Amino acid sequence: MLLRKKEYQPQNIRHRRSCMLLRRQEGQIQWATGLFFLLFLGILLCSQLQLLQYGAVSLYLEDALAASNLASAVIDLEEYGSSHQILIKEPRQAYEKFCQAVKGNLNLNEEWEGTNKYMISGTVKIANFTVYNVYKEKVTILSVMSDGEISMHQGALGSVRAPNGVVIEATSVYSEISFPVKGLFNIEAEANKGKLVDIVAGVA
Amino acid sequence: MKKQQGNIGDILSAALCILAMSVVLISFLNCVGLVQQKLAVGQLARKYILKMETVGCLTSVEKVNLSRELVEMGVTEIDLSGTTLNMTGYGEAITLHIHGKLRGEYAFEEKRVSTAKH
Repeated sequence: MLLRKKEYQPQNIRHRRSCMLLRRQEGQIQWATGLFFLLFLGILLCSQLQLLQYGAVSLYLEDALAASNLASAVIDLEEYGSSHQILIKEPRQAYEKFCQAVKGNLNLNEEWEGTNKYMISGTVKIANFTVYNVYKEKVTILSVMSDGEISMHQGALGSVRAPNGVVIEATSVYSEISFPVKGLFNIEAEANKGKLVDIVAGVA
Repeated sequence: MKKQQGNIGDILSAALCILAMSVVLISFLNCVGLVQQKLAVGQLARKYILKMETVGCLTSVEKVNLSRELVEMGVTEIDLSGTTLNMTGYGEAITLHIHGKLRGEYAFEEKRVSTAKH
């Protein structure tokens, strides 16, 4: 009888042990699956938040550029009074006003660096500043370089396009800036943003 | 029928994961809400700087309207110091400077610079 008992006991223990191991493994699988989903959700939401942040920065910069372009558009009032033509005769003055406005609108310091490092992580550079003066059927293109030099070209109305592909139909200002941006895990990338603004007379 | 023995560990792991996911999701929605609010304030600033361009300054009526709209957006501790409140001439610089707090906690600063066109 005793021998029988001794024979059965090891089998029973083995069965129990295998059951316990199976349960432990099941528990581990549950934990691993849960953590995987948690990690996946975390990464997904982080990337979504980053995209949203980039979208917000893009919109903010577009607003700032539009406002700065408008600030630079100081037209020749005498010309407007006599011929009702909107012309920006002083591109250098316009460029200076644009620089001041960009600095204010993007909250840049004296070194042209963004104070909000989440948006602009380094120095902002003006990549392009062009004034398109439309007079009758002609478009005069005045590009101001960073050293203050002005290059002048002319074209027929309807054939001149801004760097963003838009056909020039009225006196306009196009500007483009480049700046570094920092993303998740401090990954830095160079970004460009350009904006064209038409200057048209308001209807009273 | 005999009731099977339950394992608290199985339920605990699932519950903890669901709880952690909920926390992550809530903080994400919170962040998104804040970004959206900041964007809305930016759009409002854009609207008012354009108004200021046509007038030459932020008039007292517009100042009240701006403050009201900011309050409606949930902005507290509104401060418009640094904003051009006196009439300026054609081509002169005008500034709209908004300081405030979103949800009473997150301080922000919105600045718009342009030139008067009136």
